[in-house]
Amino acid sequence: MDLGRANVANEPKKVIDELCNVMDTVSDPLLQMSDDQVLAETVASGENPEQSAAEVKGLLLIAVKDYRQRRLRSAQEEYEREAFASQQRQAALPDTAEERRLLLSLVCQQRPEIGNALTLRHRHFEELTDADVESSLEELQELGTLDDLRNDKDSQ
Amino acid sequence: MARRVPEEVAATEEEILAAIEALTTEDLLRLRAYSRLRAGILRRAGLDKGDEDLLQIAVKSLLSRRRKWNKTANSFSDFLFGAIKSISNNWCRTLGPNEPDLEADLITLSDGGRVHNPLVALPSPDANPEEVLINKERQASINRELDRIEALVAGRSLAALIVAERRRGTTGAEIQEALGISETEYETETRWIYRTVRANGPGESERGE
Repeated sequence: MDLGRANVANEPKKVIDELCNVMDTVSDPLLQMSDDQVLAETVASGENPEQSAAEVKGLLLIAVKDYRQRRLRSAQEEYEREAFASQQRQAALPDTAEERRLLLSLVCQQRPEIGNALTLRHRHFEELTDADVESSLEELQELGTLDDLRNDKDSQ
Repeated sequence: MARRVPEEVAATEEEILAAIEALTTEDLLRLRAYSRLRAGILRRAGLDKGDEDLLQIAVKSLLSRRRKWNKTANSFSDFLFGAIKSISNNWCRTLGPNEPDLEADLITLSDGGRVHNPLVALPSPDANPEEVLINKERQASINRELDRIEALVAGRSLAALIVAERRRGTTGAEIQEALGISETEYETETRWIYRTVRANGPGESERGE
């Protein structure tokens, strides 16, 4: 019996649709069945309902545990990546206080707004301590400003 | 669809955990039977995934907020059934060529932002001869599974007609109208179809066969 639709050719997408439709037809009646019917079917199929239910709950709880562990691993990896990147950035700063001061001075020349911000926050450039210079450069490294300046220089 | 659930009514991780603990024996048995039946059909049609994957991905998709459960509007078990149905339908579509977007339910995004997709890349139909051959084999597997289900219900004419018509895309309501049968008669018949197919499927988990 044909309800009036054209025959379905076995094209790949049509076959997939057919499978989805049949899968729904076969499985969805289960959603309408009463709890008693579900229990009775489980017993009839030779399974122990309590044991089967515990297994399913265990699977769901393992999914939660897996997800949390993966998230923790991911956070740990992210932390390690950041720590490594920070270490790399610090390592890229000049070794001596004199060279670091020279670098900061160059940055202020190329980016006057940074120089203004520094003197506003601290004092005259000449009066910055070595520690001020180093922490300012680290801050600029963190913000990516030093990398930007290096890239600008490289592209010129 | 649950994905549009407002953030303020979406369940928290602790609420999800509590909801799992609160599932009844019957809920859990129904979940197993539903995922086992759907995964079993897909597996025989050529998809290498099992019912346990289906259950766990449904939960993980909720935890990762790919899906949201509106706890004020739906029970947790209803959410899980909807997720399992949606995920397995998406898996079904990955059996076809050129459906990369529908693999999305297998793709998980870690908090670190990395994408993990356990499905191997699917071949496109116009690629190389080997991929064309894989496509043909998959299509043959799907047809074999569809034919197997039709054969299981062939001895009962109304059931056979329902499966044949649903296969070609006729809706349940259209079938009821065309045949002049009530909703109850239709449901009785589809329940028989479910029992028959379930009884002829594997009794144990499909995974790792």
